Amino acid sequence: MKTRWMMIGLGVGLASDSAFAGARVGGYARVMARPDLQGGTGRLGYWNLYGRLLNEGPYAALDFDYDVLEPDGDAPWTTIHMRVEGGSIEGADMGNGGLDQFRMSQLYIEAGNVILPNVAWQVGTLERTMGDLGLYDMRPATVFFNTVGLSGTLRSGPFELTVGGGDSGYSLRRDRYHPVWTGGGAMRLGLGRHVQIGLGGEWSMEFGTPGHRYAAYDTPNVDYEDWIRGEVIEQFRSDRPIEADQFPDPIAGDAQSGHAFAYLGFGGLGPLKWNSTTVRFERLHPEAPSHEEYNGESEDIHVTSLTDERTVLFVGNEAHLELIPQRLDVAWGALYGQHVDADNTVAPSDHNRWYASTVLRMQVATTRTLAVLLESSIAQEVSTQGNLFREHQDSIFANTDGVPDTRGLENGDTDTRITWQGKGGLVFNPMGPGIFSRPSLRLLYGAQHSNENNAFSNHFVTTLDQYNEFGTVEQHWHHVLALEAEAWF
Amino acid sequence: MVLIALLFACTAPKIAPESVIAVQTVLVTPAASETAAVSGLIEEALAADNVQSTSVPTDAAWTALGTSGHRSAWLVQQSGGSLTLLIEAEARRRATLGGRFQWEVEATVVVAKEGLPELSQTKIMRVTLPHAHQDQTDALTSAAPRIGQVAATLVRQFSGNDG
Repeated sequence: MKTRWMMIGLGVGLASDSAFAGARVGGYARVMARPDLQGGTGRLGYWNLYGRLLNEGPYAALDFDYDVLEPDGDAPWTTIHMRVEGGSIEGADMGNGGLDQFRMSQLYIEAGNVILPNVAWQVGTLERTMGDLGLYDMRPATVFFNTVGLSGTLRSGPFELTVGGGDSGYSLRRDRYHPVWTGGGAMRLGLGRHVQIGLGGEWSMEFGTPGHRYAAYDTPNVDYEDWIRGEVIEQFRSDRPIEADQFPDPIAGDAQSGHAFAYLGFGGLGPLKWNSTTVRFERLHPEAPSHEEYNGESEDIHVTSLTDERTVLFVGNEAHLELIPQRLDVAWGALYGQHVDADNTVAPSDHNRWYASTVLRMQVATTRTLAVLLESSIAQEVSTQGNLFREHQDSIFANTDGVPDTRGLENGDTDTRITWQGKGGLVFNPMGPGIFSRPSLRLLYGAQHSNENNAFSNHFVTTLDQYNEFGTVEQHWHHVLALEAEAWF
Repeated sequence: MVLIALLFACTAPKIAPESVIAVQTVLVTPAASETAAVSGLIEEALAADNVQSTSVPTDAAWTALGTSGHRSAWLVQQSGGSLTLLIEAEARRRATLGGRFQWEVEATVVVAKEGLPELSQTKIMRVTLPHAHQDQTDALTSAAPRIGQVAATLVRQFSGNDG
């Protein structure tokens, strides 16, 4: 074993000349100018449930590879990989391209044909995906998104198996780091040229560490409603006015989370190039404590057991069709999501809702490098625990049954948001026709209608306070013009 | 301004050179199935530049040739000293980026003719494929038009007719 590593080390030295040619840079770029004349920030709607087009901001990623030892038959090989990415470009968003908007999202070293043939070992960040729902820019068939550790990937013909494990603590807890052990894997199998199946999942465990201030704890006897109102201390003092120094100490516990997915892909059948279906079920990791202050007293409220029953069911499908070769491409997507928070039975939130959406995109190539793009989407989002959306600028006065409720937990006058979007324009593809052809330069117009008032990111003042000097606005249509470019390279 | 110039460049039709150049061609990829999948696309791209390629069949001696130079010399000999084009291409999986799958295609193009020094160029091209299951053949197919364009440019350059 030791000899083998010494040989690899020697190989690194001997290969240094040829390795110079093995360096490469790739990446992704998306930049746009979308002046918004209706008070928005340049995005047609709130999020990519309505299709990623015109609903996402700028983004850039630079990907570096360096072959220390290039692959050569059955001989060992090793590659260093790193990626820097972020969502800001000078002049294109309010971050103005600041480097604080970027992060080194990946760094790993892969070594293949070491100990086991056809196995690539990966140490570092471990994210692995079976592709995305491109119209939505969502990747449900992904494992190890948060994990740094070790994985091994066996590739043998149509079979690919990844098994790995590591620590997700920094990604999940950030500056409140505490180790979160994660293990899991993913498998993909091709059944001929036309069918692919895949399975995957991971499980994360955060074990209690007595004395560690950032470990998973629970503050005893916290009522959920008091917590979301930020009134835990106040309620405690109200109930126990003479126990001045007795705010309860947190109790250590364990936290768990994880997800599993199944993937089915098929295609190469007539005009159907490929169809991907993914089903994913996830249990979210419990939250870190929140901070409260009351009457000069400040406490961390530990809420592991108040946030450990949040689940997400996600079903997504995307199909790509080439109806007229080199002329007419169609992409169709649909998804359904259901979020349940069994701990929260009192207030609407993003953890108690369901949504469904469908997106249809058509791209017609009029010449080899010029195409017309048309896209439309319809989506419904429903809060399963009370009103979450405001249909009118004065809806603060119109909660359930039109009754004002200053102590109410609802956020608006309806529990349903229905959004329609239509987009169209010219696409310039220097590399030739195709819905995936990049780079593409686009001149687009988009329109949205939503029953929610101002259903796009904006800087409107929403208060109805008599001292609101800016006033309020009610509008349900939103129009955006965009000049944008996108490339993988 | 740059964007506007690019937009107009995209709308302008490509005009092929008037003169036709004939070449004897061999395309080499790691697997025969890959060669079959991409040869038509490369020929199409060559034809778009008025480079007419005729495929030269290889034999048992071919497999013993170890370098591009040797293979090109063999091709010139087989073609009776006329203008030849050797294209060697292979694809390698790289990273996953934004849910897409990046591949790297390395293509070496050698143009030769008896009595003249050969012209050779190696291009590394980035290919982004949308699905995890797509393989070397898909990556080469995606890069084939670009490989054909590079080859056509080199053939015209070698022939002293840049078009």
